[in-house]
Amino acid sequence: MKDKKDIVQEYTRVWAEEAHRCSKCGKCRSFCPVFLETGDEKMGTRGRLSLAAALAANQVAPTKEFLRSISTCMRCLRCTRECPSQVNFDRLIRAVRGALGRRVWRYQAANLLVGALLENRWMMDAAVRCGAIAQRFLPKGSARWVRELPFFYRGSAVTPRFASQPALRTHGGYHRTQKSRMTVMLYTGCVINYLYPDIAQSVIDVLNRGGVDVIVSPRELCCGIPAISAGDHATAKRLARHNVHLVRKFNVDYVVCACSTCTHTFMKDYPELIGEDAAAFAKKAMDVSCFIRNVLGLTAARTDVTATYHDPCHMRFGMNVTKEPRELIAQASRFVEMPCADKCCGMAGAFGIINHAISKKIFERKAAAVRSSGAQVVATSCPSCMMQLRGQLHDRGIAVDVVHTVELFRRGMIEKQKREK
Amino acid sequence: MFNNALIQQFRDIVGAENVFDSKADRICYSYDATKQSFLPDLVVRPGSTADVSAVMKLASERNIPVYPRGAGSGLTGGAVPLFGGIALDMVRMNRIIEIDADNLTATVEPGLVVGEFQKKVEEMGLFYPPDPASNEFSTIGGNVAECAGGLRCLKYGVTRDYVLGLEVVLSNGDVINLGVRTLKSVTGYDMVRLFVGSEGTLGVFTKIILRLIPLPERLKTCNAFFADTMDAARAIADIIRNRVVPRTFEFMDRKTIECVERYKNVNISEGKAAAFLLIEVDGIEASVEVEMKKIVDICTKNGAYKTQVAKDEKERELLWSLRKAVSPALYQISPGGKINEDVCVPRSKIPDMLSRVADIAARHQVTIVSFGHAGDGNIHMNVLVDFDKPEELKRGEEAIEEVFKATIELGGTLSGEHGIGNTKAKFLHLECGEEEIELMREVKELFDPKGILNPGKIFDPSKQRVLSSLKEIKEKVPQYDER
Repeated sequence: MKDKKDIVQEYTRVWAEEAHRCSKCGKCRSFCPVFLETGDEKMGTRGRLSLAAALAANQVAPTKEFLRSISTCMRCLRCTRECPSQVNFDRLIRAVRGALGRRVWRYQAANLLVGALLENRWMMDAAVRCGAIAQRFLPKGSARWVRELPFFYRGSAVTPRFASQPALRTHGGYHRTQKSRMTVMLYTGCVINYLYPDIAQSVIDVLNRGGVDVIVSPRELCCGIPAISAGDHATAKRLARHNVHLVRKFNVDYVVCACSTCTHTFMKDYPELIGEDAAAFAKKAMDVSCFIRNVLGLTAARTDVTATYHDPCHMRFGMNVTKEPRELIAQASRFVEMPCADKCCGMAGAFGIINHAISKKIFERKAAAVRSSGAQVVATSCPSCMMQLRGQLHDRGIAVDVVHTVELFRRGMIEKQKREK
Repeated sequence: MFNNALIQQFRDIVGAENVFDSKADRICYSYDATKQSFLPDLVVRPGSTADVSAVMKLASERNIPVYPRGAGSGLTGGAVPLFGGIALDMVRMNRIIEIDADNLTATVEPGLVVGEFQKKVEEMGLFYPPDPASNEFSTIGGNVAECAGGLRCLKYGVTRDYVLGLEVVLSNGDVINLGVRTLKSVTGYDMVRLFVGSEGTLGVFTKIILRLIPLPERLKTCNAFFADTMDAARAIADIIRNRVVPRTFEFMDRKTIECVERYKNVNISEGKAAAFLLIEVDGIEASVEVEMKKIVDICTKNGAYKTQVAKDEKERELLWSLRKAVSPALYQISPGGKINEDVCVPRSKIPDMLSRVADIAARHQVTIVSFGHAGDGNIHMNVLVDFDKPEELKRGEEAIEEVFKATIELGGTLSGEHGIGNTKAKFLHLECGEEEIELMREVKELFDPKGILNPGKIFDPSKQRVLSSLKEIKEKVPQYDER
């Protein structure tokens, strides 16, 4: 356990570089999703930043209110991209949480448990298996959703049934195609692995049809974002090293990923975490839509559905990718842009579970936007967003299908092949 | 003073979830965009006029200072709780009560964000012109309290021209209604004007009746580069003399253009621009075409070496992108900070002002960049200084004082749209005479005899009579000054 002095030293540097740049203009009040719903200054970027600065200056202790402020940042990265003073708020929040992670017992306990799960595939598998069994005993109606598991009495639900078999178990291995032009590795990511193995199936199929051999390594571990977000940088570093070494073993040009959060972690967080080691890997990492569009240049035929696109925050604000997924969707369907496509859906991984009420409120805007767009399908490039969209739209009785961009594109490819025959 | 029993009384009024007393919460309501920070003792978030009235009544009984607060985005310390007390966060009162499309009025609550309101009325084909750069996050209440201006002042005026009526809670908790819902009215004194721009020192707004106008059909935008500031000034005068009144008349000086071009890594000015103008006209299709042609001709005739007219929305955004990049560019070039002032001089005096500013900057060895709203003579002077270097800061502050004096000499005013707050309070005497200040003090005392409403603002706190009564209650030293 570190004492006060060390914490101050540890992130005073980051504070000096980032928090100091903030001019307190208040622009973040216009887009921080959590602030917009709560109207509470401490739940917005500027408040959090001021508190981080106050902690560094020893003017405030990590009290309940302080932790509430720091822990309700979704790390959607919007403020980091749009801040007129170019404050890298994300870097600051990581540093603050890192400092807290060693000081606050609640964080320590959570980090210990989560760290163990993330670093040991068998533990994670077992935990998910238990969850899947427990799901069966939930009453019908809510039984399809497991978001409530540790929080039974919180009202509605989002998380779907756990997959009977994780994707890594069913799809792990070498997926060859006849006329191979290159080999890539598909990093599935935990949400796809345990909840949506179908997406992995679709990606492999699309890439195979595009003449690409796909490697799925069952030895991959979590990208580390839960650990980074919780301030457990030690675990995050170990995970990063593991994944970097794993990829190095396979001599591939690209590591393709269908989860925008994982991709962002590889590209932006890994180099910061482990430095040089990750540089080559960070360059190889690519979002699957960008890969299909920019590297392979695949095409599809338009199917008879109206689809819209939801921008995952890490894709839009983290990687500045907005064009490619829309182009893929426009090829495979009648694309309509929905209002506020760039507004956060409110899931943000564990945030949506822990801060269920805020998450639900944030989604209100999205629900209205989806409804007004008139689309039959909402496509997005992040399985975590999909979870939120599916659950929350279902709760509100909005009958709109939610799919991954690649799943939609695959339908278009199949349609195209049909027409060609 | 703030024992649990008292805090409980406030909780009973607005609900426990709307009273914050933890240190962490209070820190978050201690600052505004001036980066000053003074801790309030309590944060109270009223939800209705009745709440505000009850809070003010109790505060008045107990002699507690109250600081009304919108988004906390003010640039002169208007919302900063200088002497502790209650930060009255109006964010919960953010409803649009009514938009009357037939009579072109709207009734809103003060916590409403200006940009949201503008979007809403524009959807209905209506227009609320005051347009401060902070419109995406600043609130109507704050805009009215500071009489915000913005980019469309030459043609459309400032916030005060759009406030018809106010519901105000006075310092003792009384609720009064001022103004009307009609365009004309001479029933007694024009009290609304007194309250607009009063910086929260006279009362707390709880309802605001705003005037709207029909939304102009078309926009046409152009920019012009001049190698000589005088040429630009002549062009501005010439355009207005030729009976064209643009809605926007933005100006940037050589230093600003350099900063922006370096920031955006472009070279649009070809390295020789001393002045940049961004001009926008609005109206019906036929008129904007004619007006724009006139403007371009006049600019060229007056020596503009380059003009660009936007053909569509995309090009318009491109032209605006230079102007919009000013703030981020300045932050990047001067990460240590900047002193941002908003003096306003008669339009024809802009070149004089700029040359004096250049002289002042050279004498005090500081960089001053100037940009702003040329149509109304409102120039934003940013002195780029590092707040961590006391010596540099001192030079900057000396330069600012001279800028103020030059402004007054040219017949200008200390603040076009930011207000006086506490940061400019000590300069008030430069513009207003002893008697005028005394009269204003008496007005303030009339409405707020105990001096509990936003103490320390507008008037120099060291000379504020009313404040002495506060000091007796609590000797309070600012404890948390980050700057």
